[in-house]
Amino acid sequence: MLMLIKKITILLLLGLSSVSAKGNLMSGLTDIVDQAEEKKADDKKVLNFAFKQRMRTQWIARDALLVAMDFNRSFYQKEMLENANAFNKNFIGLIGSEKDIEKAKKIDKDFGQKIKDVNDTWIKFYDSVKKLSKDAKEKEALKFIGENNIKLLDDIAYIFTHFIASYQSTNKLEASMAHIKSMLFTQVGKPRMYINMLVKEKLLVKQNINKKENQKDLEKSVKNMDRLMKALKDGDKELELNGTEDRKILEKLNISQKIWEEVKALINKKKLTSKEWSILITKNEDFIKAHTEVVKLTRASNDN
Amino acid sequence: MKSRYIIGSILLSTVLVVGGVNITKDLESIVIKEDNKNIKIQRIQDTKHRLTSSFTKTSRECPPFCIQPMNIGKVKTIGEIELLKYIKEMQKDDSDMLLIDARTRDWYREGSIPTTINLPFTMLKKGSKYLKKILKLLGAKEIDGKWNFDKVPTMIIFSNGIWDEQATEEIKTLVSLGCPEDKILYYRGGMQNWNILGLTVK
Repeated sequence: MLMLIKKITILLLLGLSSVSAKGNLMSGLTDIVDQAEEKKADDKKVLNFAFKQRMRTQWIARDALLVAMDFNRSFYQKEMLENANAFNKNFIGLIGSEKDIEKAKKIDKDFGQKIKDVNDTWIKFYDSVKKLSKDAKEKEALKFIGENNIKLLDDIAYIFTHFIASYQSTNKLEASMAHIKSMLFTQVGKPRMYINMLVKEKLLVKQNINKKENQKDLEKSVKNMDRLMKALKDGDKELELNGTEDRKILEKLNISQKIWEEVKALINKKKLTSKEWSILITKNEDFIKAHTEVVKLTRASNDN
Repeated sequence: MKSRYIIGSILLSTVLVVGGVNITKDLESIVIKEDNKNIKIQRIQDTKHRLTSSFTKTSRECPPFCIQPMNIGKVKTIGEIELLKYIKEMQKDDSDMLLIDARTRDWYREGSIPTTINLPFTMLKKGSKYLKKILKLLGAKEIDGKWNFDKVPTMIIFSNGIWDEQATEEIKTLVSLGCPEDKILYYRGGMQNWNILGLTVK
Protein backbone atom coordinates (compact mmCIF):
# COMPACT_ATOMS: atom_id res chain seq x y z
CA MET A 1 0.00 0.00 0.00
CA LEU A 2 2.78 2.35 1.04
CA MET A 3 4.67 1.47 -2.13
CA LEU A 4 1.62 2.29 -4.24
CA ILE A 5 1.16 5.72 -2.60
CA LYS A 6 4.88 6.43 -3.12
CA LYS A 7 4.59 5.44 -6.79
CA ILE A 8 1.52 7.66 -7.32
CA THR A 9 3.25 10.58 -5.58
CA ILE A 10 6.32 10.24 -7.82
CA LEU A 11 4.10 10.08 -10.91
CA LEU A 12 2.17 13.14 -9.80
CA LEU A 13 5.38 15.07 -9.13
CA LEU A 14 6.79 14.06 -12.50
CA GLY A 15 3.57 15.18 -14.12
CA LEU A 16 3.61 18.52 -12.34
CA SER A 17 7.25 19.19 -13.15
CA SER A 18 6.70 18.44 -16.84
CA VAL A 19 3.70 20.79 -16.85
CA SER A 20 5.74 23.56 -15.24
CA ALA A 21 8.72 22.90 -17.55
CA LYS A 22 6.44 23.27 -20.55
CA GLY A 23 4.88 26.38 -19.01
CA ASN A 24 8.35 27.85 -18.48
CA LEU A 25 9.33 27.04 -22.03
CA MET A 26 6.18 28.64 -23.44
CA SER A 27 6.45 31.79 -21.32
CA GLY A 28 10.22 32.05 -21.93
CA LEU A 29 9.73 31.91 -25.70
CA THR A 30 6.87 34.40 -25.53
CA ASP A 31 9.06 36.80 -23.52
CA ILE A 32 11.87 36.67 -26.09
CA VAL A 33 9.48 37.28 -28.99
CA ASP A 34 7.84 40.16 -27.08
CA GLN A 35 11.26 41.65 -26.41
CA ALA A 36 12.15 41.47 -30.10
CA GLU A 37 8.79 43.02 -30.97
CA GLU A 38 9.49 46.00 -28.71
CA LYS A 39 12.75 46.61 -30.54
CA LYS A 40 10.92 46.34 -33.87
CA ALA A 41 8.30 48.80 -32.64
CA ASP A 42 11.11 51.29 -31.96
CA ASP A 43 12.39 50.86 -35.54
CA LYS A 44 8.85 51.42 -36.81
CA LYS A 45 8.65 54.64 -34.79
CA VAL A 46 11.80 55.92 -36.52
CA LEU A 47 10.24 55.15 -39.89
CA ASN A 48 6.99 56.79 -38.90
CA PHE A 49 8.91 59.93 -37.94
CA ALA A 50 10.50 59.93 -41.37
CA PHE A 51 7.09 59.66 -43.08
CA LYS A 52 5.80 62.58 -41.06
CA GLN A 53 8.88 64.67 -41.83
CA ARG A 54 8.09 64.36 -45.54
CA MET A 55 4.57 65.69 -44.97
CA ARG A 56 5.82 68.49 -42.70
CA THR A 57 8.13 70.03 -45.34
CA GLN A 58 5.09 70.77 -47.47
CA TRP A 59 2.92 71.74 -44.53
CA ILE A 60 5.46 74.36 -43.41
CA ALA A 61 5.77 75.73 -46.96
CA ARG A 62 1.98 75.91 -47.30
CA ASP A 63 1.64 77.73 -43.99
CA ALA A 64 4.42 80.15 -44.96
CA LEU A 65 2.43 81.12 -48.05
CA LEU A 66 -0.77 81.52 -46.03
CA VAL A 67 1.11 83.78 -43.62
CA ALA A 68 2.48 85.84 -46.53
CA MET A 69 -1.02 86.32 -47.98
CA ASP A 70 -2.28 87.33 -44.53
CA PHE A 71 -4.71 84.42 -44.32
CA ASN A 72 -5.54 83.85 -40.64
CA ARG A 73 -1.96 85.02 -40.13
CA SER A 74 -1.27 84.49 -36.43
CA PHE A 75 -2.83 81.01 -36.48
CA TYR A 76 -0.65 79.84 -39.37
CA GLN A 77 2.46 81.53 -37.96
CA LYS A 78 1.95 79.46 -34.83
CA GLU A 79 1.16 76.25 -36.74
CA MET A 80 4.16 76.72 -39.04
CA LEU A 81 6.51 77.14 -36.09
CA GLU A 82 5.01 74.13 -34.28
CA ASN A 83 5.55 71.97 -37.35
CA ALA A 84 9.12 73.25 -37.73
CA ASN A 85 9.84 72.53 -34.05
CA ALA A 86 8.48 69.00 -34.45
CA PHE A 87 10.52 68.56 -37.64
CA ASN A 88 13.64 69.77 -35.83
CA LYS A 89 13.14 67.45 -32.87
CA ASN A 90 12.61 64.40 -35.07
CA PHE A 91 15.38 65.39 -37.48
CA ILE A 92 17.91 65.56 -34.66
CA GLY A 93 16.71 62.16 -33.47
CA LEU A 94 16.86 60.74 -36.99
CA ILE A 95 20.40 61.84 -37.76
CA GLY A 96 21.66 61.53 -34.19
CA SER A 97 22.27 57.79 -34.21
CA GLU A 98 25.93 57.16 -35.07
CA LYS A 99 25.17 53.43 -35.31
CA ASP A 100 22.46 53.94 -37.94
CA ILE A 101 24.61 56.37 -39.91
CA GLU A 102 27.51 53.92 -39.95
CA LYS A 103 25.13 51.24 -41.24
CA ALA A 104 23.83 53.55 -43.99
CA LYS A 105 27.39 54.50 -44.98
CA LYS A 106 27.88 50.91 -46.06
CA ILE A 107 25.29 51.52 -48.78
CA ASP A 108 26.55 54.97 -49.78
CA LYS A 109 29.96 56.14 -48.61
CA ASP A 110 28.91 59.78 -49.09
CA PHE A 111 26.01 59.36 -46.68
CA GLY A 112 27.82 61.14 -43.82
CA GLN A 113 28.56 64.20 -45.98
CA LYS A 114 24.98 64.19 -47.29
CA ILE A 115 23.66 64.29 -43.71
CA LYS A 116 25.84 67.34 -43.02
CA ASP A 117 24.57 69.10 -46.17
CA VAL A 118 20.94 68.37 -45.29
CA ASN A 119 21.56 69.60 -41.77
CA ASP A 120 23.01 72.89 -43.13
CA THR A 121 19.93 73.41 -45.32
CA TRP A 122 17.63 72.57 -42.44
CA ILE A 123 19.33 75.05 -40.05
CA LYS A 124 18.74 77.88 -42.58
CA PHE A 125 15.22 76.65 -43.30
CA TYR A 126 14.36 76.50 -39.60
CA ASP A 127 15.82 79.95 -39.09
CA SER A 128 13.64 81.31 -41.92
CA VAL A 129 10.54 79.75 -40.35
CA LYS A 130 11.38 81.39 -37.02
CA LYS A 131 11.79 84.79 -38.71
CA LEU A 132 8.54 84.45 -40.65
CA SER A 133 6.67 83.36 -37.57
CA LYS A 134 7.64 86.65 -35.94
CA ASP A 135 7.32 88.93 -38.95
CA ALA A 136 5.02 88.07 -41.88
CA LYS A 137 6.86 90.57 -44.08
CA GLU A 138 10.19 88.70 -43.96
CA LYS A 139 10.48 88.32 -47.74
CA GLU A 140 13.93 86.70 -47.73
CA ALA A 141 12.74 84.06 -45.28
CA LEU A 142 9.69 83.32 -47.42
CA LYS A 143 11.87 83.11 -50.52
CA PHE A 144 14.23 80.63 -48.83
CA ILE A 145 11.35 78.42 -47.72
CA GLY A 146 9.80 78.61 -51.20
CA GLU A 147 13.04 77.71 -52.93
CA ASN A 148 14.16 74.95 -50.57
CA ASN A 149 11.08 73.03 -49.41
CA ILE A 150 11.20 70.57 -52.31
CA LYS A 151 14.94 70.09 -51.86
CA LEU A 152 14.32 69.36 -48.18
CA LEU A 153 11.57 66.89 -49.12
CA ASP A 154 13.94 65.07 -51.51
CA ASP A 155 16.73 65.09 -48.94
CA ILE A 156 14.49 63.54 -46.31
CA ALA A 157 13.41 60.88 -48.83
CA TYR A 158 17.11 60.16 -49.52
CA ILE A 159 17.97 59.76 -45.83
CA PHE A 160 14.87 57.71 -45.24
CA THR A 161 15.53 55.33 -48.18
CA HIS A 162 19.07 54.73 -46.95
CA PHE A 163 17.96 54.03 -43.41
CA ILE A 164 15.39 51.52 -44.68
CA ALA A 165 18.00 49.85 -46.88
CA SER A 166 20.42 49.64 -43.96
CA TYR A 167 17.82 47.87 -41.85
CA GLN A 168 17.36 45.26 -44.57
CA SER A 169 17.92 41.69 -43.51
CA THR A 170 20.49 39.45 -45.18
CA ASN A 171 17.86 36.72 -45.15
CA LYS A 172 16.31 36.73 -48.65
CA LEU A 173 12.77 35.83 -47.58
CA GLU A 174 12.75 38.41 -44.78
CA ALA A 175 14.21 41.12 -47.04
CA SER A 176 11.69 40.37 -49.77
CA MET A 177 8.73 40.47 -47.35
CA ALA A 178 10.06 43.68 -45.79
CA HIS A 179 10.43 45.29 -49.22
CA ILE A 180 6.76 44.75 -50.05
CA LYS A 181 5.79 46.27 -46.71
CA SER A 182 8.13 49.24 -46.92
CA MET A 183 6.85 50.07 -50.43
CA LEU A 184 3.28 49.91 -49.13
CA PHE A 185 4.04 52.01 -46.04
CA THR A 186 5.98 54.56 -48.09
CA GLN A 187 3.18 54.96 -50.60
CA VAL A 188 0.23 54.82 -48.23
CA GLY A 189 1.36 57.91 -46.33
CA LYS A 190 2.27 59.91 -49.44
CA PRO A 191 -1.19 61.41 -50.10
CA ARG A 192 -0.82 63.39 -46.85
CA MET A 193 2.32 64.97 -48.29
CA TYR A 194 0.72 65.46 -51.72
CA ILE A 195 -2.32 67.27 -50.34
CA ASN A 196 -0.10 69.84 -48.64
CA MET A 197 2.00 70.14 -51.77
CA LEU A 198 -1.08 70.67 -53.93
CA VAL A 199 -2.45 73.46 -51.77
CA LYS A 200 1.00 75.01 -51.59
CA GLU A 201 1.26 74.98 -55.40
CA LYS A 202 -2.21 76.47 -55.72
CA LEU A 203 -1.12 79.27 -53.35
CA LEU A 204 2.05 79.87 -55.40
CA VAL A 205 -0.04 80.21 -58.56
CA LYS A 206 -2.43 82.60 -56.82
CA GLN A 207 0.47 84.76 -55.67
CA ASN A 208 1.98 84.79 -59.17
CA ILE A 209 5.19 83.15 -58.02
CA ASN A 210 6.64 81.31 -61.05
CA LYS A 211 3.03 81.01 -62.15
CA LYS A 212 3.53 78.97 -65.32
CA GLU A 213 5.89 76.50 -63.73
CA ASN A 214 3.81 76.08 -60.59
CA GLN A 215 0.61 75.62 -62.59
CA LYS A 216 2.35 72.80 -64.43
CA ASP A 217 3.52 71.26 -61.15
CA LEU A 218 0.02 71.59 -59.76
CA GLU A 219 -1.50 69.69 -62.68
CA LYS A 220 1.17 67.01 -62.32
CA SER A 221 0.51 66.70 -58.58
CA VAL A 222 -3.24 66.27 -59.23
CA LYS A 223 -2.45 63.41 -61.63
CA ASN A 224 -0.02 61.84 -59.15
CA MET A 225 -2.55 62.06 -56.35
CA ASP A 226 -5.33 60.57 -58.50
CA ARG A 227 -3.09 57.70 -59.54
CA LEU A 228 -1.88 57.01 -56.00
CA MET A 229 -5.37 57.04 -54.47
CA LYS A 230 -6.54 54.58 -57.14
CA ALA A 231 -3.42 52.45 -56.66
CA LEU A 232 -3.99 52.15 -52.93
CA LYS A 233 -7.35 50.56 -53.72
CA ASP A 234 -6.78 48.65 -56.95
CA GLY A 235 -3.01 48.25 -57.09
CA ASP A 236 -0.41 49.59 -59.52
CA LYS A 237 2.49 47.48 -60.71
CA GLU A 238 4.82 50.42 -61.36
CA LEU A 239 4.20 51.85 -57.90
CA GLU A 240 4.68 48.33 -56.49
CA LEU A 241 1.26 48.42 -54.85
CA ASN A 242 -1.08 45.43 -54.73
CA GLY A 243 -4.20 47.29 -53.68
CA THR A 244 -6.35 46.16 -50.80
CA GLU A 245 -9.39 44.03 -50.15
CA ASP A 246 -9.52 44.84 -46.46
CA ARG A 247 -13.03 46.16 -45.86
CA LYS A 248 -12.04 48.48 -43.02
CA ILE A 249 -9.19 50.01 -45.01
CA LEU A 250 -11.46 50.40 -48.04
CA GLU A 251 -14.06 52.20 -45.93
CA LYS A 252 -11.46 54.66 -44.65
CA LEU A 253 -9.99 55.05 -48.13
CA ASN A 254 -13.42 55.95 -49.45
CA ILE A 255 -13.67 58.72 -46.86
CA SER A 256 -10.32 60.24 -47.83
CA GLN A 257 -11.16 59.76 -51.53
CA LYS A 258 -14.37 61.73 -51.05
CA ILE A 259 -12.50 64.60 -49.41
CA TRP A 260 -9.86 64.46 -52.15
CA GLU A 261 -12.59 64.83 -54.81
CA GLU A 262 -13.84 67.96 -53.03
CA VAL A 263 -10.31 69.35 -52.77
CA LYS A 264 -9.67 68.55 -56.43
CA ALA A 265 -12.80 70.41 -57.53
CA LEU A 266 -11.50 73.52 -55.75
CA ILE A 267 -7.94 73.08 -57.00
CA ASN A 268 -9.21 72.84 -60.58
CA LYS A 269 -11.19 76.08 -60.30
CA LYS A 270 -9.32 78.98 -61.88
CA LYS A 271 -10.22 81.56 -59.25
CA LEU A 272 -11.30 80.96 -55.69
CA THR A 273 -13.27 83.31 -53.48
CA SER A 274 -11.91 83.87 -49.97
CA LYS A 275 -14.68 81.59 -48.65
CA GLU A 276 -13.56 78.86 -51.05
CA TRP A 277 -9.96 79.33 -49.91
CA SER A 278 -11.12 78.75 -46.34
CA ILE A 279 -12.96 75.60 -47.41
CA LEU A 280 -9.88 74.39 -49.30
CA ILE A 281 -7.62 74.84 -46.28
CA THR A 282 -10.12 73.12 -43.99
CA LYS A 283 -10.55 70.22 -46.44
CA ASN A 284 -6.75 69.94 -46.66
CA GLU A 285 -6.63 69.36 -42.92
CA ASP A 286 -9.69 67.07 -42.97
CA PHE A 287 -7.94 64.95 -45.56
CA ILE A 288 -4.82 64.56 -43.43
CA LYS A 289 -6.90 63.44 -40.45
CA ALA A 290 -8.96 61.02 -42.54
CA HIS A 291 -5.99 59.59 -44.37
CA THR A 292 -4.06 59.09 -41.13
CA GLU A 293 -6.72 56.47 -40.32
CA VAL A 294 -5.88 54.68 -43.58
CA VAL A 295 -2.18 54.78 -42.68
CA LYS A 296 -2.83 53.39 -39.18
CA LEU A 297 -5.03 50.55 -40.41
CA THR A 298 -2.63 49.65 -43.22
CA ARG A 299 0.29 49.48 -40.83
CA ALA A 300 -1.68 47.19 -38.55
CA SER A 301 -2.90 44.95 -41.35
CA ASN A 302 -1.35 42.08 -43.26
CA ASP A 303 -3.44 42.29 -46.38
CA ASN A 304 -0.56 41.16 -48.59
CA MET B 1 -0.78 1.50 -31.00
CA LYS B 2 -0.35 4.85 -29.30
CA SER B 3 -2.13 6.75 -32.10
CA ARG B 4 -5.01 4.26 -32.04
CA TYR B 5 -5.45 4.99 -28.36
CA ILE B 6 -5.43 8.76 -28.99
CA ILE B 7 -7.97 8.61 -31.82
CA GLY B 8 -10.08 6.39 -29.60
CA SER B 9 -10.01 8.92 -26.78
CA ILE B 10 -10.88 11.74 -29.19
CA LEU B 11 -13.90 9.77 -30.33
CA LEU B 12 -14.99 9.13 -26.77
CA SER B 13 -14.66 12.78 -25.85
CA THR B 14 -16.98 14.06 -28.52
CA VAL B 15 -20.59 13.61 -29.49
CA LEU B 16 -21.16 13.68 -33.20
CA VAL B 17 -23.78 16.11 -34.45
CA VAL B 18 -25.70 14.52 -37.30
CA GLY B 19 -26.15 16.98 -40.16
CA GLY B 20 -23.61 19.35 -38.64
CA VAL B 21 -20.34 20.54 -40.16
CA ASN B 22 -18.12 17.88 -38.64
CA ILE B 23 -14.37 17.44 -38.82
CA THR B 24 -14.67 13.88 -40.06
CA LYS B 25 -17.68 11.62 -40.28
CA ASP B 26 -16.82 10.37 -36.81
CA LEU B 27 -15.54 13.53 -35.20
CA GLU B 28 -17.41 16.73 -34.45
CA SER B 29 -14.85 18.62 -32.37
CA ILE B 30 -12.11 18.35 -29.82
CA VAL B 31 -11.95 20.22 -26.55
CA ILE B 32 -8.62 21.41 -25.25
CA LYS B 33 -7.45 23.56 -22.37
CA GLU B 34 -5.42 26.71 -22.93
CA ASP B 35 -4.71 29.35 -20.25
CA ASN B 36 -7.12 27.48 -17.95
CA LYS B 37 -9.95 27.88 -20.43
CA ASN B 38 -11.68 25.16 -22.38
CA ILE B 39 -11.48 25.73 -26.11
CA LYS B 40 -13.58 23.72 -28.52
CA ILE B 41 -11.87 23.22 -31.85
CA GLN B 42 -14.52 22.67 -34.46
CA ARG B 43 -15.54 23.89 -37.89
CA ILE B 44 -17.79 26.92 -38.40
CA GLN B 45 -21.31 25.48 -38.36
CA ASP B 46 -22.89 27.98 -40.78
CA THR B 47 -22.92 26.21 -44.16
CA LYS B 48 -23.30 29.56 -45.93
CA HIS B 49 -20.18 31.01 -44.35
CA ARG B 50 -17.59 32.47 -46.72
CA LEU B 51 -14.13 33.76 -45.93
CA THR B 52 -13.63 37.49 -46.37
CA SER B 53 -10.05 37.70 -45.12
CA SER B 54 -6.87 37.80 -47.18
CA PHE B 55 -7.01 33.98 -47.25
CA THR B 56 -9.42 34.32 -50.17
CA LYS B 57 -6.62 35.63 -52.39
CA THR B 58 -5.37 33.56 -55.28
CA SER B 59 -2.40 35.61 -56.44
CA ARG B 60 0.37 36.93 -54.34
CA GLU B 61 3.74 38.17 -55.46
CA CYS B 62 6.28 35.37 -55.77
CA PRO B 63 8.90 35.85 -54.45
CA PRO B 64 8.37 36.05 -51.53
CA PHE B 65 5.06 34.19 -51.53
CA CYS B 66 5.85 31.07 -53.58
CA ILE B 67 4.25 27.61 -53.66
CA GLN B 68 5.99 25.30 -51.21
CA PRO B 69 7.08 21.71 -51.87
CA MET B 70 5.20 18.84 -50.26
CA ASN B 71 8.29 17.59 -48.45
CA ILE B 72 11.20 19.42 -46.87
CA GLY B 73 14.00 16.88 -46.84
CA LYS B 74 12.93 13.96 -44.70
CA VAL B 75 10.67 16.03 -42.46
CA LYS B 76 7.23 14.44 -42.27
CA THR B 77 4.39 16.53 -43.69
CA ILE B 78 1.04 16.29 -41.92
CA GLY B 79 -2.56 17.34 -42.56
CA GLU B 80 -5.37 18.59 -40.33
CA ILE B 81 -6.50 15.24 -38.91
CA GLU B 82 -2.99 14.40 -37.79
CA LEU B 83 -2.53 17.90 -36.41
CA LEU B 84 -5.73 17.67 -34.38
CA LYS B 85 -4.60 14.34 -33.04
CA TYR B 86 -1.30 15.88 -31.92
CA ILE B 87 -3.05 18.93 -30.43
CA LYS B 88 -5.11 16.56 -28.29
CA GLU B 89 -1.99 14.60 -27.40
CA MET B 90 -0.23 17.80 -26.37
CA GLN B 91 -2.82 18.20 -23.64
CA LYS B 92 -1.30 15.33 -21.74
CA ASP B 93 1.09 16.27 -18.96
CA ASP B 94 3.87 14.10 -20.29
CA SER B 95 3.52 15.33 -23.87
CA ASP B 96 6.78 16.17 -25.55
CA MET B 97 5.44 18.21 -28.44
CA LEU B 98 5.23 21.85 -29.37
CA LEU B 99 3.04 23.51 -31.99
CA ILE B 100 4.97 26.41 -33.52
CA ASP B 101 3.65 29.25 -35.66
CA ALA B 102 6.70 30.37 -37.66
CA ARG B 103 5.13 33.58 -38.94
CA THR B 104 6.19 37.06 -37.94
CA ARG B 105 4.27 38.49 -35.01
CA ASP B 106 1.98 40.76 -37.08
CA TRP B 107 0.58 37.73 -38.94
CA TYR B 108 0.26 35.76 -35.71
CA ARG B 109 -1.71 38.55 -34.06
CA GLU B 110 -4.44 38.20 -36.67
CA GLY B 111 -5.19 34.68 -35.50
CA SER B 112 -3.54 31.32 -35.07
CA ILE B 113 -4.25 27.73 -34.14
CA PRO B 114 -5.12 27.17 -30.45
CA THR B 115 -2.20 25.99 -28.25
CA THR B 116 0.32 27.49 -30.66
CA ILE B 117 3.46 29.29 -29.61
CA ASN B 118 4.72 32.02 -31.94
CA LEU B 119 8.36 31.64 -32.89
CA PRO B 120 8.95 33.83 -35.96
CA PHE B 121 11.40 32.54 -38.55
CA THR B 122 13.06 35.97 -38.41
CA MET B 123 14.22 35.18 -34.87
CA LEU B 124 15.15 31.58 -35.46
CA LYS B 125 17.64 32.24 -38.24
CA LYS B 126 21.40 32.07 -38.41
CA GLY B 127 22.90 35.33 -37.22
CA SER B 128 19.90 36.23 -35.07
CA LYS B 129 20.90 37.54 -31.67
CA TYR B 130 18.02 35.56 -30.17
CA LEU B 131 19.00 32.23 -31.70
CA LYS B 132 21.09 30.87 -28.80
CA LYS B 133 18.54 31.92 -26.18
CA ILE B 134 15.70 30.28 -28.12
CA LEU B 135 17.57 27.05 -28.74
CA LYS B 136 18.54 26.80 -25.07
CA LEU B 137 14.94 27.40 -24.01
CA LEU B 138 13.82 24.67 -26.38
CA GLY B 139 16.19 22.35 -24.58
CA ALA B 140 19.07 22.21 -27.04
CA LYS B 141 22.61 22.07 -25.69
CA GLU B 142 25.68 23.58 -27.30
CA ILE B 143 28.63 21.24 -27.15
CA ASP B 144 31.87 22.30 -28.84
CA GLY B 145 30.06 24.74 -31.11
CA LYS B 146 27.51 22.14 -32.20
CA TRP B 147 23.90 21.89 -31.06
CA ASN B 148 22.45 18.77 -29.55
CA PHE B 149 18.68 18.51 -29.93
CA ASP B 150 18.10 15.31 -27.89
CA LYS B 151 16.04 17.09 -25.24
CA VAL B 152 14.12 19.33 -27.62
CA PRO B 153 10.42 18.44 -27.95
CA THR B 154 9.01 17.36 -31.28
CA MET B 155 8.06 20.53 -33.12
CA ILE B 156 5.07 20.84 -35.43
CA ILE B 157 5.79 23.88 -37.56
CA PHE B 158 3.43 25.83 -39.79
CA SER B 159 2.94 29.27 -41.31
CA ASN B 160 0.36 30.69 -43.73
CA GLY B 161 0.21 27.58 -45.84
CA ILE B 162 1.04 26.30 -49.27
CA TRP B 163 2.08 29.70 -50.60
CA ASP B 164 4.20 30.75 -47.65
CA GLU B 165 7.87 30.03 -47.09
CA GLN B 166 8.11 31.13 -43.46
CA ALA B 167 7.66 27.61 -42.01
CA THR B 168 9.93 26.10 -44.68
CA GLU B 169 12.62 28.63 -43.79
CA GLU B 170 12.36 27.86 -40.07
CA ILE B 171 12.49 24.10 -40.66
CA LYS B 172 15.53 24.45 -42.92
CA THR B 173 17.30 26.56 -40.28
CA LEU B 174 16.62 24.01 -37.54
CA VAL B 175 17.83 21.14 -39.70
CA SER B 176 20.95 23.06 -40.71
CA LEU B 177 21.69 23.62 -37.03
CA GLY B 178 21.65 19.90 -36.45
CA CYS B 179 18.05 19.22 -35.46
CA PRO B 180 17.13 15.67 -36.50
CA GLU B 181 14.44 15.71 -39.19
CA ASP B 182 12.29 13.29 -37.18
CA LYS B 183 12.01 15.92 -34.42
CA ILE B 184 10.04 18.13 -36.80
CA LEU B 185 6.61 17.82 -38.42
CA TYR B 186 5.51 20.19 -41.17
CA TYR B 187 1.86 21.26 -41.32
CA ARG B 188 2.01 22.48 -44.91
CA GLY B 189 -1.63 23.55 -45.14
CA GLY B 190 -1.01 26.17 -42.45
CA MET B 191 -3.44 28.97 -41.67
CA GLN B 192 -4.77 28.94 -45.25
CA ASN B 193 -6.17 25.40 -44.93
CA TRP B 194 -7.11 25.87 -41.27
CA ASN B 195 -9.21 28.90 -42.23
CA ILE B 196 -10.70 27.43 -45.38
CA LEU B 197 -11.96 24.50 -43.31
CA GLY B 198 -13.51 26.93 -40.85
CA LEU B 199 -11.57 25.50 -37.94
CA THR B 200 -11.41 27.45 -34.65
CA VAL B 201 -8.84 30.25 -34.64
CA LYS B 202 -7.54 31.81 -31.43
